[in-house]
Amino acid sequence: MRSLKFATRFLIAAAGATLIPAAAAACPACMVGDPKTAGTYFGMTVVMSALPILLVCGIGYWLWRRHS
Amino acid sequence: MSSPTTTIDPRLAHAAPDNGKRLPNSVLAMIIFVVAEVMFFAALMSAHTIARATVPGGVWPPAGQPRLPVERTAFNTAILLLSGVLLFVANRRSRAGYEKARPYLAGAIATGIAFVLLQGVEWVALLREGLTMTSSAHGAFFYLIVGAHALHAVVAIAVLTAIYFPMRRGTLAPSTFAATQVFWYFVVLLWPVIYLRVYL
Repeated sequence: MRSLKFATRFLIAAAGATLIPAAAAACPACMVGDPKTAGTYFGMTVVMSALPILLVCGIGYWLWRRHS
Repeated sequence: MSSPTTTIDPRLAHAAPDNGKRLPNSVLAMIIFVVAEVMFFAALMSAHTIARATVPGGVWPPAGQPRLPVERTAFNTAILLLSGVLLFVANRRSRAGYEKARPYLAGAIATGIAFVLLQGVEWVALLREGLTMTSSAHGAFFYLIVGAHALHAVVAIAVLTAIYFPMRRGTLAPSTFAATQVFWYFVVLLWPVIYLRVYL
């Protein structure tokens, strides 16, 4: 039980750390250089993360509409 | 007196009428393949965008590298879009019979071939001007992205040509025609995105 509590707290803390990557210097490519470069990295990260989700959801919705 | 018999081509048997609701397996497989291809090109263009943003001095194309032929390629883009429109019309006409769709499919193939040939002419000119895979990141990304698209276009044209003959014989399965269209529309619609990101 104690280990479960510890694991939960650790996971919450780890998830919270992802909100402040600059403090952890977790992504050296994103955190150095000018803001334009950082913005480009951020934009491309969003695109590459969202695109597969949008594609799969879009096709799923289309198939659902087609069969309903 | 025997009643008239109807012979069904075995290749068309799987394309039985289903009120157009059931998605043929070949079309679904092609859609899944196209999704994977979209991610492939997205990765290439993402890398290109980052390389462009991080280039020293912020000048793109880098100094000493030739500029890409924006106007000529815009004309080429229009040819490829026309090819997509012709295939769309071929699909609409195919509902009234393959005979009426065939000229439009032939037009789509011809304009597709024209696109690839004009791209080839453009490549030869750029190579003469000194833009190569190793001349700069600009050249490497250009040939990688545009070359990958050209490879897809060549394969798609080969497939369109391959379905032209069964269409002429009247033995083309509608699902095969539909799957081929999905791939060609992908090739056609991807190009303007590449044009906007790489050329402009």
